Amino acid sequence: MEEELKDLGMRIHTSFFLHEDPSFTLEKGDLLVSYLDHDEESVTILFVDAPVFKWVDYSPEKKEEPSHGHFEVLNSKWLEHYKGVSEKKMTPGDFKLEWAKNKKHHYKLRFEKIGCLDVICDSIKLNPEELDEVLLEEADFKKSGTD
Amino acid sequence: MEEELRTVGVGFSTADAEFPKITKQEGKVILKYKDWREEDITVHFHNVIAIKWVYEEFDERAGERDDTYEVLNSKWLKALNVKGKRHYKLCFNSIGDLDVICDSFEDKSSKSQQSPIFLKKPAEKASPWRPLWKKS
Repeated sequence: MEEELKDLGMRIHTSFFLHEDPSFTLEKGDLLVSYLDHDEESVTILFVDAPVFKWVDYSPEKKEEPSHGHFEVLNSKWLEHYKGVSEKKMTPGDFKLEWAKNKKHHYKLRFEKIGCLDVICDSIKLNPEELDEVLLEEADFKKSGTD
Repeated sequence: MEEELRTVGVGFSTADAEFPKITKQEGKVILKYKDWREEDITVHFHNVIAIKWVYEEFDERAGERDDTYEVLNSKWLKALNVKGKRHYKLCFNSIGDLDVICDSFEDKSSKSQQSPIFLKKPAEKASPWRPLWKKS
């Protein structure tokens, strides 16, 4: 089956007019991506239980059309590849647990002329409340530091 | 030409480390973890254009590696079609592999000047029932 990009329909902007490049942190298996969009709105996206991720800067030499958006890759060859690898390496019990009900997904975030992020994970959360609080605290701290 | 892994002499060890924290901001990637001696390791990668993390159980390499390498004749570097960059691979044996395409990297650990490499490798740990990257 051919790969398909399914728009996640999240109300976030990944377009060229980003206020800043996205930054990301992998910690304890979760990948957190954050950036300010073109309206200077803070966007945070949490990829839960992400064993594989890849970021590649946009490069004009690659001759790929820049585009933006956030997708799930259906019939992902990348996901199938890692599923095959993990089947060989994990115990049957762990493999069954890890891939039960096809819970792993391949998500793709394209940031036009900045780069592209591919992640394999269990789920995706947009602007989780607890993270918003942390970011707000950080923003307040930075603001008070510059006054 | 076949890919080759060439060991890079560094002042830190990736053997039996804790799960690393990997942060990318602009063109810099900061890697932080506690090594097998419980010492804090910090490594900065400069002018990064690509990065990949693969947990060990999803990694097709055979056996466990616990060293820092430069990937010679890198297929990924070739596919990216860029010049003047290098492909480094940091292997955290039972945890995973970090691949970075960048200009260079440097050890920013506080004891980096005094840390001999691989003074003593600890005994292999038993495999956990659940993957290490899963939170308890």
